[in-house]
Amino acid sequence: MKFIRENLINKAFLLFTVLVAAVVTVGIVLNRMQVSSISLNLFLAVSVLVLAFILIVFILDVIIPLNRVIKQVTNLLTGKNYKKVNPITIDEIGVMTHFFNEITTDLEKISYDIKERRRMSSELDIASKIQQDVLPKEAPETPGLDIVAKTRSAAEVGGDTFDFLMSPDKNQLFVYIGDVTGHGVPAGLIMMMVDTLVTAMVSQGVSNGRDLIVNTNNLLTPRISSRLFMTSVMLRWDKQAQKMYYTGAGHEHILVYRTKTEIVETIRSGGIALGMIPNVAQIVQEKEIPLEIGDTIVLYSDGITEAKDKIGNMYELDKLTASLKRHGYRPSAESIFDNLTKDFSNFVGEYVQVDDITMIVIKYLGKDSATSKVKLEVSVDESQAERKSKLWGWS
Amino acid sequence: MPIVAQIKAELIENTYYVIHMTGEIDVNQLPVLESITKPLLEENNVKGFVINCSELTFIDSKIVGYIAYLYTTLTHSNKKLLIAGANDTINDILTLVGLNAIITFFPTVDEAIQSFNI
Repeated sequence: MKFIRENLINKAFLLFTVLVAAVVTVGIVLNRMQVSSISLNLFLAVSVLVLAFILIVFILDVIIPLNRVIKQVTNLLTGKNYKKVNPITIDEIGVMTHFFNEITTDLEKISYDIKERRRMSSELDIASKIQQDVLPKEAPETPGLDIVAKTRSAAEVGGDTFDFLMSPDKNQLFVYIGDVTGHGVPAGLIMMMVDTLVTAMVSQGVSNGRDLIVNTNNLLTPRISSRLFMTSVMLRWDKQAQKMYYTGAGHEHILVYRTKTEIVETIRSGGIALGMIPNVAQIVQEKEIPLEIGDTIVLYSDGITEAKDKIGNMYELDKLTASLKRHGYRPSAESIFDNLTKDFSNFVGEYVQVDDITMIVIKYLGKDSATSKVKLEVSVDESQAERKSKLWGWS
Repeated sequence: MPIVAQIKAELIENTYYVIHMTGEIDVNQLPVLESITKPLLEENNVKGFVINCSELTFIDSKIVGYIAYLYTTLTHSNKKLLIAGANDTINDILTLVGLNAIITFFPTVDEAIQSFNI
């Protein structure tokens, strides 16, 4: 029976067979009963009954199930509300009904995924906007220093940060760069936590880099996984004494171009990354970077030194150092920055950005130099489509 | 010719695990590193891990982060994490983030294992 139930042609063949068998059986019976003729009425009545039986079977088994599924398919195609159809046959119509149900299930899943993706994209845009708002748009005027700082995220939300914070007594300017492991939302959330903590502590009067790093670490470590951490360098500029100090938290080297000798010093930031261990008081120190007029400090994130060219070679510290050695003599932080990033862009070429990149260039111009506004740029305001195709180049 | 990235764990004296990392290990190999090491963290008879860096040519910040995680997890269980055989590049990367302040470095795996018994 299954052979007949699962195929419309077999069903039609069965009904035709039933019709032929009925005619043959009636003929044989009449012949045996030696009936040479029957009334027309009886013949018509029997014929109508047999045809009615076949028609009813055909309607119940083919027409009704087909109409049910066709109605829902039409609703689906014309954008009306549709519902799943319970298959009552196992023939081609049953298969079609099952197929319709599967298709609509997949469509609902795809529709949900699209809505969810739109929602997430919208939330990422909001997160990106919040992060932009946290990053500095302008910094305090800094007599003696010429500063350019730029950052670019590899995703909607970045893990690199920098900021310029003036102490409440206006005597100390804190300049810091931070780089959270990886990039994207987890890195961005930690970056936001650190920015908030540092800003709060400076406004509360914490007046040296070491205390800022130690206290930030104390508050951050219990709140994040030890797999995530932030490396940082905190510079403290004593405006009155015209002295620069640094406190390292496991960050990349600090580069210092010496105008007099035209060499580049690489200073290990020292310390340990924020968030790795609960107490870093014994590890972290604040030290001075002696500066003479014309000297230039460069802070950068590992997105620059770990950037690759099209054949996989890394930019590495030596290329950045060589670039600074070539351009450190230039008169302004902006011209040095532009040339450093030009060299960098030429190296990486078409390689697509995979990590956040940040660089701060600080040139010491001397106490009597004209006050210059800090130039800041946060490149996180591009649409996702633009960012995906964005090349490394900054210039 | 670049060395193929490879990670494997070796149990020594039924007490120490040596994690051999070879080639360039970056975020792409992190799932493998996790799948190999996470079950080993649960083993009570193990006193500690030694990361053998003698054939390691590069690690990125994600791997450094995972090493910090291994250190924290093992320390919480009163176990040790040691690093052995790091070349200048690896030494620089680990030192830069300050891991040398909390993890002891040894020139060879043998010396690292011997230190467990001191």
